[in-house]
Amino acid sequence: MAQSKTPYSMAADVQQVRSRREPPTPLGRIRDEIRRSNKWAYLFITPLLLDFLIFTVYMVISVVALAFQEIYYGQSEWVGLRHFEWIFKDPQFWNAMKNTLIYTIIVVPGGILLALILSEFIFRRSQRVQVFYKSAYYLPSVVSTAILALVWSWIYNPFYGILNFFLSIFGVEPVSWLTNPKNAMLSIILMSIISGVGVSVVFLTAAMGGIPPELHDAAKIDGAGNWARFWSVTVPLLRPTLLYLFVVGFISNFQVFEQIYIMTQGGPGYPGATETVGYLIYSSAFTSLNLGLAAAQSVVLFFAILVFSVIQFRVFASEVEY
Amino acid sequence: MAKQLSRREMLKLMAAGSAAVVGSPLMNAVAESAGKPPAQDVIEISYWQAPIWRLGKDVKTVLGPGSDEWILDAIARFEAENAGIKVNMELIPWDQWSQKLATAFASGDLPNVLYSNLAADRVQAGLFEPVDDYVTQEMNDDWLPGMRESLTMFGRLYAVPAFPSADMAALSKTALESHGGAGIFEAIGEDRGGLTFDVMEEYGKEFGDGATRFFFGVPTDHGSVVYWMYGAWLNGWGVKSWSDDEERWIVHEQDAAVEAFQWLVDAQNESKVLIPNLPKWSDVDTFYWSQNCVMRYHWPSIEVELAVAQEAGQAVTPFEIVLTAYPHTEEVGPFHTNQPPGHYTICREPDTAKREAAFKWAFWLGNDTSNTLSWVADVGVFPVNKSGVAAIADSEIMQNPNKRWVVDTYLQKFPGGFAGGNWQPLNNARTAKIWNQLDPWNWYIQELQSLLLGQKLPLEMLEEMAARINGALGTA
Repeated sequence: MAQSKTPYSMAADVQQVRSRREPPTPLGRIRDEIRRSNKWAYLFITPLLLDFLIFTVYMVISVVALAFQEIYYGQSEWVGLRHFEWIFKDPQFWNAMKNTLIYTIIVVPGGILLALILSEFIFRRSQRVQVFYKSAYYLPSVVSTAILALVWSWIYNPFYGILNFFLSIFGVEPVSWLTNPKNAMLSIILMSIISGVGVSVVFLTAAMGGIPPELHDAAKIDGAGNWARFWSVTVPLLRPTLLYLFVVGFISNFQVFEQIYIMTQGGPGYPGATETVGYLIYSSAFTSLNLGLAAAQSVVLFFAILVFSVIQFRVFASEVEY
Repeated sequence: MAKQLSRREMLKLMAAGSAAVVGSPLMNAVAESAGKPPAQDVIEISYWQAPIWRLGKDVKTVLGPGSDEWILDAIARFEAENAGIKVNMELIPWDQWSQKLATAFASGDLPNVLYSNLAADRVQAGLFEPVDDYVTQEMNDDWLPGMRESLTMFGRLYAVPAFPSADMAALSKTALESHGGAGIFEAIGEDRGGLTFDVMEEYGKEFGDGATRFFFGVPTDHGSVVYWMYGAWLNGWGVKSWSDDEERWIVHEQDAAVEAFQWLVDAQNESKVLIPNLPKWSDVDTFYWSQNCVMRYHWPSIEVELAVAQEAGQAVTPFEIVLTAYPHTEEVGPFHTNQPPGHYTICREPDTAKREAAFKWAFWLGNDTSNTLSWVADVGVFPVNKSGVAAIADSEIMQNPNKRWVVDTYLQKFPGGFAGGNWQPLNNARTAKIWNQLDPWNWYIQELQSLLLGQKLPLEMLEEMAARINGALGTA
């Protein structure tokens, strides 16, 4: 029997291969992914996935919905953009946003800079000394911020604080660390930098360990001194770690709450010298029972963090080699 | 060879796992209830309480703040007397109290019996049950004058009075005798009603050294600023906070208010009789217990707190406190703050039997004479009814001169100040709601701090506050 010959079509071949390789629909892609991957993995990630869906995704959606409602004594009413209108003309909110920015802009780079300096010194020491210093700097990180804030409140106490006691030895008059609006934010910033430096030190020393020693040797042969090697070899190669510390630090510090709540309650004075957006959200929700307003403030804070995080990625990430 | 799981098998496994996770507590509950006898005879009520007790069930042993020994014993006694009722208490620490209530009020998910928190807007929102129907003539006749009236809103009684919430000034006699200024006791007279602002200043200078010892301590980090510095302090200057219909905050319209706050600024900067540097509550405690400050505002429970502080080695021994009326001008004269009494509210509950059981518990706790001595000794407050007063009249604790003065003179001979303690819009639901949303518990503190820091003059502060409050009320 004679075989009927159809003319060869390259386009049909390509189409056939593509249809085999690329599932046509998103559902098909998911099916393909399940077929291809280890099925047990899905079982193991299910608990965390449920946790994420319930306690993160659902909560975020609820907060956004809440921002457009007035919740009062178990009843809710849709109020549209009313809370946002209030926020955008509320001087207390913008004062809190300003304080939050000042806090974050000083704490994050300041903390990382201090950690970088400390890491450089620690990394040059023997293994045993390194372990000692890393543990010592990391120790405050395992203590809750609430406890740290309490201890620092005692240190800063204008009447009985140890800091003023030491200063008095040198004839310095007692300083109002937390009760003078000019000093209060700086005092909290100092506490946050000192207490939080340990985490960055651990990250940076670990990253320094990953830098090939040959690079330093080559620089040495080229006549580079300690400073030149640090600035031109170590720091550039730490960029991925520094970017991570910047972004994560920015996100967490933008939500600062505990130290403000314990040390100053947003004060001193009105508008509060240390009132941050995180603290204002707490006050709106839990002292004035205005959950809708608190949710709207949270949404604005979320977008502020998002914008700043995107900017950081744009500015730093282009030069980072992973 | 290990068998590969198919997609269907995996999904089945996941579904079974999830069902097991969800179902196991349910099965436990079913199994537990199957093993128990039917519970239709026992009415369970929930009860939320702040930790106001500090002594053991013997009402003598000092156990410290937050002790639950006495209240657990009281619940056991009540349940023994009322076999059909079970009280499920949640003793909520003070640092969690406001958050717990905030979320509960927002969701409307409240217990059957709640300590305190009566407010007109909450009544109007239907959160609380009226309790008139449970009050017998005998109960009514037994309450001391004013108790019922203070808790009546929109013509109905919405809470069960438990104790008169008297607050006042507390002078440290021991410190005044040690460092000077003890002549103040003669100056204020036998009825302790002569504490004027001039007297404070005169003896304050005698006591203080302007550097480490100060006459008066105001905790500037604490919500008490709202009711003491904007309530009682202004009342002492004759300044009324709210208009009669409570639709406006009127402090800024009165010259005496400027004078009242200027006095505080001067007391800090000029005469140096006020602790400077925005002391916290804990700082004022330290000053007071160590005899470096002699006057503060407080409840009569300060004597119980003194016992706890002495036990912990924080306060000197001996330490004698003299309670007096709030400072005031000659024209205003001594007054008591006219705060509503401490009370229990019965929260919204469709089940009539539960409502009745809740009232029974609330009334028993605050009004039963078997508990009266505990309220006086342990919490430092006073009986709410005549039978309570009679029950402890001859007790050892009522021989304490401070206790006698509060009952015989302060609450009975001195007139009440402006309504509701002069700080809260007590009877106007709309104003109460809006005012609460302005976050007065933080904001008033910050405003007082601004004043004492010299950031604002008294009139500037008051006008700023008026603009915010009356602006929100639409009556600026």
